[in-house]
Amino acid sequence: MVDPANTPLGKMLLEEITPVVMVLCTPLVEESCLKNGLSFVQMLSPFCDFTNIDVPVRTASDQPYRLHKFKIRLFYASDIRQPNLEVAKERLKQVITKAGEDDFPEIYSDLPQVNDLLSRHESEILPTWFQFFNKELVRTLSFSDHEAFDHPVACLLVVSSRDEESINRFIDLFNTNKLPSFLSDGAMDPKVLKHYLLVHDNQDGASEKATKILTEMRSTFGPNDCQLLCINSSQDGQTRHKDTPWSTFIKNLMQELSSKHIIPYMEQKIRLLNQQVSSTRKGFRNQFKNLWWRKGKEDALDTTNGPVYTFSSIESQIRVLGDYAFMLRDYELAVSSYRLISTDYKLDKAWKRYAGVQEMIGLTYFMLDQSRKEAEYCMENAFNTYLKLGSAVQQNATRCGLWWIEMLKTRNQIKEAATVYFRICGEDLLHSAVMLEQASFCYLLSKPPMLHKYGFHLVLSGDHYKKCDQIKHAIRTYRNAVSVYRGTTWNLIKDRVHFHIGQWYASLGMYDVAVTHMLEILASSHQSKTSQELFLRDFLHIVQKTGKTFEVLKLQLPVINISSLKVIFEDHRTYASPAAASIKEGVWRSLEEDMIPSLSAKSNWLDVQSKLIPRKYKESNICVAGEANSSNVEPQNDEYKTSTSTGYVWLLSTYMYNAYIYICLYVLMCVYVFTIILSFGRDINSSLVLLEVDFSLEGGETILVQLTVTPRVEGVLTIVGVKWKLSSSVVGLHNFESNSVNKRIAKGRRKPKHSPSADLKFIVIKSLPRLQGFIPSLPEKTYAGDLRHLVLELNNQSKFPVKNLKMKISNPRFLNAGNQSYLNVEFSACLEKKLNVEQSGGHANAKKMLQNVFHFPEDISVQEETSLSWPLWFHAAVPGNISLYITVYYEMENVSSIMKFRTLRMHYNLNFALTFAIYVLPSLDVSFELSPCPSRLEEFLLRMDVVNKTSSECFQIHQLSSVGQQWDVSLLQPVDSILPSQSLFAGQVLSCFFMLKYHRKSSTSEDSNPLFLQSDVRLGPPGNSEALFDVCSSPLADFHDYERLYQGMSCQGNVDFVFITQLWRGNIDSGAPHRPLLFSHHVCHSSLSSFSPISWSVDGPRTIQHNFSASPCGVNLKMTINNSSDAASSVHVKTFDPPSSNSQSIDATASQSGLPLENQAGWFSIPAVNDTKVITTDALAKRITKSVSLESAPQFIWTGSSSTKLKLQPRATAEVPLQICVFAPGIYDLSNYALNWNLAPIEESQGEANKSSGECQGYPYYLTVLQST
Amino acid sequence: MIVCVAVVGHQNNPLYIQSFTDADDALKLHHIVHCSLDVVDERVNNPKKSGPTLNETFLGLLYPTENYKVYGYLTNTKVKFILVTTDLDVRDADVRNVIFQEVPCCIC
Repeated sequence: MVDPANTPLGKMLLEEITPVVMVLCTPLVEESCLKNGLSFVQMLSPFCDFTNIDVPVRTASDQPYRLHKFKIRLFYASDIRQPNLEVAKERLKQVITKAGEDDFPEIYSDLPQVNDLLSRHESEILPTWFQFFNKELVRTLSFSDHEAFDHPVACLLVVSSRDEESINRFIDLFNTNKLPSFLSDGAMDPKVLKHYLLVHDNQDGASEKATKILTEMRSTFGPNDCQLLCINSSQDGQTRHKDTPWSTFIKNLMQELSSKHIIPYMEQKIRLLNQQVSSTRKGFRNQFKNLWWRKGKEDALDTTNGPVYTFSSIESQIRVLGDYAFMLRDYELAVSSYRLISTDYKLDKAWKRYAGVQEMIGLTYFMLDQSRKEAEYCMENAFNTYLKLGSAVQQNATRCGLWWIEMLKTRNQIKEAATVYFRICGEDLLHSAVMLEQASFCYLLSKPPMLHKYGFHLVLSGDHYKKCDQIKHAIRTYRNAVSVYRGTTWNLIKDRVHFHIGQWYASLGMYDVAVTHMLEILASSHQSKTSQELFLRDFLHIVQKTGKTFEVLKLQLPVINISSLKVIFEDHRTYASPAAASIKEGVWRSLEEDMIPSLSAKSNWLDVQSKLIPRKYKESNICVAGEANSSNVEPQNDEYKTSTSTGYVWLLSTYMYNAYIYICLYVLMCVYVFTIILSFGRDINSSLVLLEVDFSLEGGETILVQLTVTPRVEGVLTIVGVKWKLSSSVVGLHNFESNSVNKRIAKGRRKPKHSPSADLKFIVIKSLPRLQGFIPSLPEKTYAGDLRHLVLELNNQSKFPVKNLKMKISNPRFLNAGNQSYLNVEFSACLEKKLNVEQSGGHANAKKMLQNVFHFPEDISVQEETSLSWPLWFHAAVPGNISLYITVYYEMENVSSIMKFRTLRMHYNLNFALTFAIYVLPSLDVSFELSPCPSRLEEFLLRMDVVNKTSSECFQIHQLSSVGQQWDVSLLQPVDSILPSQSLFAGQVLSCFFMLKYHRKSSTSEDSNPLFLQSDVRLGPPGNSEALFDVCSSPLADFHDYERLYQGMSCQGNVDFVFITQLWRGNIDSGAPHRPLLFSHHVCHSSLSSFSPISWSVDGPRTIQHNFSASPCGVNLKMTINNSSDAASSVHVKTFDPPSSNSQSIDATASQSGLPLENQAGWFSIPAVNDTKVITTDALAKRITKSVSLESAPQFIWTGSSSTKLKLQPRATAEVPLQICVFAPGIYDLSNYALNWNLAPIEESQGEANKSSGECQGYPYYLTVLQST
Repeated sequence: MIVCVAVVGHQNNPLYIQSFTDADDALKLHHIVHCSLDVVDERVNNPKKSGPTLNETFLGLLYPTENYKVYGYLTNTKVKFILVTTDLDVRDADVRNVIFQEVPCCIC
């Protein structure tokens, strides 16, 4: 523990609680002193502080001790009175105001940082004027009558040697009624130690007269109490001496006064008082007496200050004893005296005095450095007592609190100190403000720092300062508070703090700083509408006052979502619409893969680039100088226009810049207008055409802003940032470079080490042709199956023709290019079957189509300032949303440029706005089912089920065509009978049966493409002469190809169907309402694949009459087997006896071995039943024969070979003779045989789905045998 | 009367503050809640001082101001529930049982 005397509080006490010497001097003395610019007291005061006086002191106890440090305070008698409260307040206010001016932070100094504050030492943070203020505050309480330590211990009477009748003057001085009130009103003993001083001004002449007066004085007042002081030794008053010759003299004078007069006087008085106190108050008897006596007084006195104690009262004497002992540092004696009197005052209800004594007990304990708890308790007690007494003693409470705080601080109880500061705050707002600010620093300095409270108290303090018009202090405290709230999400508080700072700065006329603070609160989305309006109004008001246009780097209004920044530019890639530009580059690349010549293949890219591009820009993006794409804010405009500025015919590339701007304000009453422009680097600054965008934002609104720049000349273009104007006075700046991490270049060709700044750097090259593409009348909504004729329009507005056009469509199932000849034909008529036209002609480029790249004929080029139309076919293959990506490749003619080609990318999609969205609705659900005709070879029954799934449309059925192998389809029954109207209404289901017949054609046929042979059934009304549509020529055939591709692998033996309907009027979007819409539904790979390639039929007699009494009946049958596949197959016919559990009439018989082909046997003997075992080899037969009993002998058996093997050539037919032997009349089912077949693998196998082997059970064949009579 | 309930996050960030007074004292209550976070931190860092309720999520009376009493509750995830009440003679147990067991249950 440090010596209490060395603590701040200790030092303060040793300075403030010291003997007071009252000075009484004549005006002439003052006059002399004023020659030096000092009053008499001021002259002597520096010599009143003795650091090593070394005086032996003996107080009440017998043990003397030495006093080293000592101080006396000198006051004029006129000053020894309680200061006027108003005057004192005024002075304190001046102190604060001056501190406010001195401590006011520089305008452009940074706001304090919490971490910075915490890392600094206490003394650096705490404003120095606090201490000064606190001292001044304490001094306003001097000379209160309830405390004795401010009562003068001695009186210094000073008379000048020039004064007439010096001796009388001395007597007059003390007797005048200028003496302090408590000397006259009895609060203090008027008999004080007197010391007489004669001041001689050397300028007045020699000191003989003074010496004479001194002698006279000594004889009058006693030899020891008189001194002579000579001043102003230099004659002219100008000479400067290094050491004032009389300073030593004064020092000696004062030291002598202290050590020889004041201290002994006090010692003596302490001893005297102690004696009195001991005799009257110590000891049991005295205490009892005292108690009893005071009890009696209790009722009589009821004033707030308690009874009046004169100096002669024992209470006053004890108090004086305590104070004197304290001043002479006999703290033990002091504390015992104070304690003694404390109870007296309490009993007397002299609360003010009680509090004062408690205060002193606390301080004495502190100086003794013992009973810390007691010390604090006493301070608290005193403080509370003062507080209870109300505002009259508020100042005492303040002083007590300050001492208490110092005590707590010494003991590192900083937090507790802060609460005391808080409690000190009284009615005086200004003082409270200072106290609150001091409290806040306590929280900052406490360990660990309590920053939340620091901020809170700063804000409170600032508010108090503001109320007292101490704006500068208020700003200072609030600025400190910012450090606490900055970076947090306590926005309500943060905004208020900034708002007030801004307002206050503005009230001081410092608008620039005000604006910086107001800027912080603009994006206050969490605030109420009123607050936002207030903030914004004040902000704009302040901005207006400055009379300047501000450029602000971090303007928060509106909020720009920089992470969604996109820069779109065009190099060799051009876009038909913003929608196309927003598609991922990868999609386009994969589409263009086999269309675009790769740079490296043609020439070394190094050669190309180094020739044309300065090396330093190698990493930059290339863009082409030219004209601007002014693009609208995306969602609204369905026509994406590319406007050409007429002044420039050079149609080159463009790029667009989009800044997505998000606004996070609630609702603003007024709508502010923003102007956004891009800012650029210097390179081609002057040759740009910028499109400024004016827009207004409602509160809470978010919009996308697209900005466009058009470079006019070749060079380098760098996009630096974006600028916007808020209500024409504040300019917001956003520099992209600083946020480079978030930047995203939509179409930039990325390199591994791509610096972000390079993304915003563009090389502008010479202008090049740029095609624009458009597909008019693309339906937005249609039904599945819709087949349309569309036109692609390509527009070249440049001076150069382009050639070598190629096109690729992402989804050829839905859209593909047609033949040029279809351009002007009438739709649907052109699809009709034409007579005398070679069928395969329209489908010549089928193979080409499958590669997906459509090459325009070589002679096709888009000439300058012309446009080209090209037919396209659209088929809505399946329901759902379609995304179509179309890329048109073209090469420039006659242009020498780094770019040899460009691509035009078009995109149509539902997901992007509603423009050109293609919405395919489900229409008809068509399914087919094939089942073989058991009675006839190569004939199938076809069932078609159609469900109309639309909600309101009515389709007219038109035609069913089968595509595939040589199949003929024909109606089983006229359509009239099942669907008289030929119209399929919404929700209607139609089932229709057809016969599908294999229509063999010779393999030597000229037709090289058997896949595209068709067979049609007209489903329309019988009298209808409408032509059938040709499904074997483009475009139906093309789409059919894709359908085959998408619906699965094709294989031999399958059949595809195309079902065509028409829709005459509909509520869907229709390009040509006067013509019917055509719908084609393709169903491929119908289930023929599930049948075996082997088919057979059994021929023979159906009814036989036979006389069984003579012999069993033998029946000859013929089985015709057909191989319909392209592969040779081996067939194994097995016969076996039916199980005996069959019905009575149809008895199963065991099979007999029959006819090997090579060994055509003749007659055979009837084998015994038992023998069958031997003969049969089949496992199944074995099992069966076991169960055969003699009683249930089968009534027919297969005779001849039970197993016949034969080989069938592709598409060949063979006949197998079969024979049975019937033993009894009856009806027999001869289905108990099986065919196993095996296809020989063929080299160009058409797929794994093909069956290579299988087993077929026999068909039922009923034979009736009758007994002939 | 409960005048304000606040949920303050792990980083002392306000997650939810709701005042239930008619007067326009949202700012004041924000300040009070913000201020009481220091006390929460203090309690958490010096569990000894918080007395017998060691390892207790209920922080008790945090901060008596002139007109309000502030109570706190700390969840395991360091989310704080702060309650400001004008009932100056409310018992700790009441606050603990009624409010700080029910409020987190309602929310969690």
